[in-house]
Amino acid sequence: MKALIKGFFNIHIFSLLLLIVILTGCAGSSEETSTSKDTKGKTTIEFVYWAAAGGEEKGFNDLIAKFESENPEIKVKKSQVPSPSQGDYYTKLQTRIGGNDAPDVFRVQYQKIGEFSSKGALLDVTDIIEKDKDKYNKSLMTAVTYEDKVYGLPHHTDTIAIFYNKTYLDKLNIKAPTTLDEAWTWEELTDVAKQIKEKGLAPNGIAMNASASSAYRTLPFFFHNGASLLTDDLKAANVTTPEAIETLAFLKDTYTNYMSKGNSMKGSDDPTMLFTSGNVGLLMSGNWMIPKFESDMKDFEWGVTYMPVSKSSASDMGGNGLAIPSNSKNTEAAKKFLAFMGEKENVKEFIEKGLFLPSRSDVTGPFNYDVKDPKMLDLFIEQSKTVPVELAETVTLPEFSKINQALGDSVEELYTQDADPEKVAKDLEEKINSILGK
Amino acid sequence: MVSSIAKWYEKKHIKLVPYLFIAPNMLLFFTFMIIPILFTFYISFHEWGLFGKPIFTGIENYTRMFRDKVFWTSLGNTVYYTAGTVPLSAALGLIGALMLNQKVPMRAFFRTIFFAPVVVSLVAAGLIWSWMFNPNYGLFNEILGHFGVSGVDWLSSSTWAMPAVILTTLWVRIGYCLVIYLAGLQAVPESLYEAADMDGANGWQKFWRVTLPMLKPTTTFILVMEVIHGFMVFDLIYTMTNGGPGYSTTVIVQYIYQKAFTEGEMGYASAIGTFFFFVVMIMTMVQMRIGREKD
Repeated sequence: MKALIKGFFNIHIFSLLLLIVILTGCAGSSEETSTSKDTKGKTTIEFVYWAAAGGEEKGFNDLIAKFESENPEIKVKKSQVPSPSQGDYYTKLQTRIGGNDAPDVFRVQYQKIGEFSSKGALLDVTDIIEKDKDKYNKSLMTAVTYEDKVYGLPHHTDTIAIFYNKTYLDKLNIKAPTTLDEAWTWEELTDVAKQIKEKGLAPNGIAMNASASSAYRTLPFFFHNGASLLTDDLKAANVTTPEAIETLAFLKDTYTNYMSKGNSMKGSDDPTMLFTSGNVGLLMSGNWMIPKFESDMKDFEWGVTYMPVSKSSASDMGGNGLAIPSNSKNTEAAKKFLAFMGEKENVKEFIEKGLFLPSRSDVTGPFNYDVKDPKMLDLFIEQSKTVPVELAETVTLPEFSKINQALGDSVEELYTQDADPEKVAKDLEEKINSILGK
Repeated sequence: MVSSIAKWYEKKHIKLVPYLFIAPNMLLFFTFMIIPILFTFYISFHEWGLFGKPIFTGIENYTRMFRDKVFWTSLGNTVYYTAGTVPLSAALGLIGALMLNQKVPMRAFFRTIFFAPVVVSLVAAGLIWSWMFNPNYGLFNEILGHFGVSGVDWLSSSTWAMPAVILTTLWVRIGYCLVIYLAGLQAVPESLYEAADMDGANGWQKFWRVTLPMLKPTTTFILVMEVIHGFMVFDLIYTMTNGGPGYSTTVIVQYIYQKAFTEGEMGYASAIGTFFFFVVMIMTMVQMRIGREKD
């Protein structure tokens, strides 16, 4: 009994101490709750973004400087972090927003914004976007809209095409297509890859800038062949059609015969590095990589051509928007920044420096792209017109990050596990249907 | 007043000071271990994606887990990885310790060399070793090439990726086992070896009948630590293979990470985490029991 009483008291003393320490801790932290206004009454907003290639970083820096000089009462704190394909960009953001330590503005891919907006994590910015609603690209507006409210600024778009090592192609006497009508067919593309490999010019024929987090970059191949990932109403999977299975078989064949083994969905190869080091002759990648190639392709000449076609042409819809977390502490200043970035001339300046494509139809050329050969961008603008509306709608569904994971798993299985395309299609169909609640 | 309180404490035999000393530690332990663990249990019965309110779903996450093929694959891989690393690192650590326990020159130097990998960050180790395994410019295939063996594409092959990861782990963990065993060896009393000598025991008998039984507590400790380490592996695999090719090197902790942070399914990830918590706890309890019984 005595021991029991003693234990009882011990516990109480312990919890008392615990309480004291906790209370002291709380008292300490309440003093430093972030008032982002400093003594001069300046508001600081935090902007989280990535800049994968040189151009976009300059674009952001210049525009932020311009914004600060126009709005002397607001300071923008730049938090540049590794890009989504390199690191855990969204993990960090989700944790910060979930932990109520949200930044004020962040850059977000169209494929990801639905995941945030559908969970109420973003601030409704309809009032900023409303007046220019009709001027934005329709697919991009779909991406940033959830239940009739706009949750982000469609900042810019981009697309992918085929970069080629001109030095190699010259040796093979191959001339890359210069118009969309002449674009290589699937067979012609793999034939070039085959020749590059067989003539010993490079150990690999083709590389693709598509990994588990960007598995959606394989989607254009479905649309080339008249297939799609989802049914027209986007309510169910549609990947067991003969056309879709043919596409999966084509991807498998291309990987097995012409791609570096490390260029799989989970592989550790850097496709950009494979290309700049001459270890691959063709690379499927986006317009934003041009500055990188200009600075890194020292030993080779290079160029860019259209995505291949099968039954029709198609490419990927990429690009990013800007959004404000719903628990941002400086929403007024953040909205001001968002509106500023969306202004016509600022959009134009950003896409010219970052080598992107405009998100607004009233931002028109000629663009003064900051590259040696601005014509190269015309090809991307032309290619971007081949993006199927259904592809844009598919990748901007709120459930898309789960679908993307399933797609990446399936492609990885095709690539590395020698899986049968028909079986992979069946599994993928099942997984997508369960994600969509079918 | 103060003195009367002090008297009261004295009378009740309550010592305040020890609690003050352990308070900071307990506070951190509660904040960063107990509370998150309890929260994980709670969230495992819900559907939640970091934002918004968790939706209660009962045991759905658990029933889904048992039907999930990838879950079983990653559980199998975890066992494969653990079975591949634990016996080897313990055995090689013991051999190394026995050798370094002799009077070899530069003993301290070798100990440092073998222990050095333990303090290297696993992320750095993973990166360096993935270069060594690289098919184009890696050290391994270079060496194999000198012997006329054509190399394999280690990390891109479903068969060879896991052995490559295990090899890397051994490089790190042998040093750890070695140092612990070395400490254990030095605690074996010299008199036991003298007695064995008098009875005419040879070297092998001395090892088998004296050294090994005396090292039993050390071995138990090492096995427990290594099994836990094996079950918890994440960073090394994340940097070396990212779980691929396919799911051939995906382990449980990584699958939890993927579900929670890539796909935003906190509830389901927590369910796997909870399940795994009990697996590790039971494993450790069994090991401790075995280690104790034979004492």
